[in-house]
Amino acid sequence: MVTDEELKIEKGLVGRVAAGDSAAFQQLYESSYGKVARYVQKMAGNESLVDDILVQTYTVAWQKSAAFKGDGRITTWLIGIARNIIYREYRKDRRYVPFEEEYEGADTTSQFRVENRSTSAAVKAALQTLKVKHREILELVFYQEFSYAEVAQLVGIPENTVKTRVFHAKQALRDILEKHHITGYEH
Amino acid sequence: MSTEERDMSHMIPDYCNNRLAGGERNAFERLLAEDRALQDECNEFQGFKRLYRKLDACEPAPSQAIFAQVAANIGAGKGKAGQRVPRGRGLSAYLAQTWQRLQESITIPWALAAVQAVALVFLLIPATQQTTYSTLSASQVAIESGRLAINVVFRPTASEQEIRDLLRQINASVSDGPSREGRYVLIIGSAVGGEKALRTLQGSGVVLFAETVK
Repeated sequence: MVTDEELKIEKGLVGRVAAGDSAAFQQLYESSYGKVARYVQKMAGNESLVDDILVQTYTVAWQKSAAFKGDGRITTWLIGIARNIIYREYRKDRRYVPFEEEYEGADTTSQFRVENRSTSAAVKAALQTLKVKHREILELVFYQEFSYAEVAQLVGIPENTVKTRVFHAKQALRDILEKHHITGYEH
Repeated sequence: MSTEERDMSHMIPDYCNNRLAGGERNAFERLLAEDRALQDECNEFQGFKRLYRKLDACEPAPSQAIFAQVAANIGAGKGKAGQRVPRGRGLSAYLAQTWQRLQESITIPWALAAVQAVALVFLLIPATQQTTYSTLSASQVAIESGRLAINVVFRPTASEQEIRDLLRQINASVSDGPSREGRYVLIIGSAVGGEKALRTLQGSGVVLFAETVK
C-alpha cells in the first residue's frame, strides 16, 4: 500500500529532480525502472522499440518533472508518459494503432501448446493473443496495482468503462486458457 | 439500502491492494461478509493477481545503458523547457529524424500541392478579365487638321460641371468619346496655346490622363 507519507516522499523526490538534482533523478530512475520497463515490454510489442521508448520516457520525465502534481504514484505518472510515447511511435509507423479496437492482438498466429511449455510460458503466450486494450488493462490492474480511477485517468475513459473492460479482458483470457486446456492458473 | 448503493465492486482493486482507508475498508468488509458475489469477485481478483506475479517473478533490473542514454540526452541540451525529445543524440540525429518524418509524411506533399493549386487559380483569375489591349493615344482618332487635339481621360469622380468649367477655361470642345477606356478627344480653340491647354488639363484635379494626339 502506498501511504500518504510515501506519496509525500515521492513528491519530494520529483521536486528535487525538477530543481535539477541529478542524484535524485538517478534515484527516481532506479526505483521506478522495474515497473515502467515491464509495462513498456508488455505493451510495445516490438522489442527493438523498448529501449528507445524507455530512453524517451525518462528524458521526458526529467524535462517535465515540474509538472508532476504529486497526487498519485511516480510509476503512474511515468507509465502515463510511456503510454503516450508508445502511442506516438506506433502512429509514426502507421502500421497500426495500439490500444484501439481495430488492433486485435500482437501474436495471433502463434499456437502455443501446453504440453511443450510450462504453464507460465503458455499463459504468457495466451496474453499476447489478447487485444492490446485488454492486455493493457489486465497489466495495469493485476500487476501494476492501479485502481479503476487511476486506469480511467490514464486511459481517458470513464471508470465504469474500466470495470466493463476488465470484465471482458478477464473473460477473454479465461476463454483462451480454457481453449488450450490451461487450468490451475488461479491458484 | 439499494443494490446500487451497496455496489462496492469498484473498490475491489483498492481493497485487494490494501489501499483502502479505515472507514472505507470497514464498510467494504462489512459488505464482503454478507455478499457472496463480492467474495467471489475478490477471490477471482486475487487469483489473477497471483497469476500475474507468477508469470514474471522479477521485474527488469535498471539498465545502465539506458540511463547513460537518458543522461546523454539531458546533457545534450534537452533541458527542462524542451518539448520534443529526439530519439537519437544531438542535433544531427534530430535533424535526420525530422527529415525522415518529412519524407515519410503523406500529408505534407499533398498540402504543398494544394497550396500551389490555389496559388495558380488566384494568378489565373485576373488574366481572364482582359483579353484585348490598346494604347490610349494610338487609336483611330482623327487628327483635326490645323487644330490641336488632346486625348483626355477624366477621373471617375469628376462631376459634369467641373468638366464643363475646365473645357471652357481652355476653350475646348469634345470631338470624340468616350471610348471604352473612357477617353475623350478634345479640340482646342485657336485662342489658347496648345501647350498651355495641355498643362492646364494635366494640372487639373479632374483629369486622370492628358496627351496630345500625334
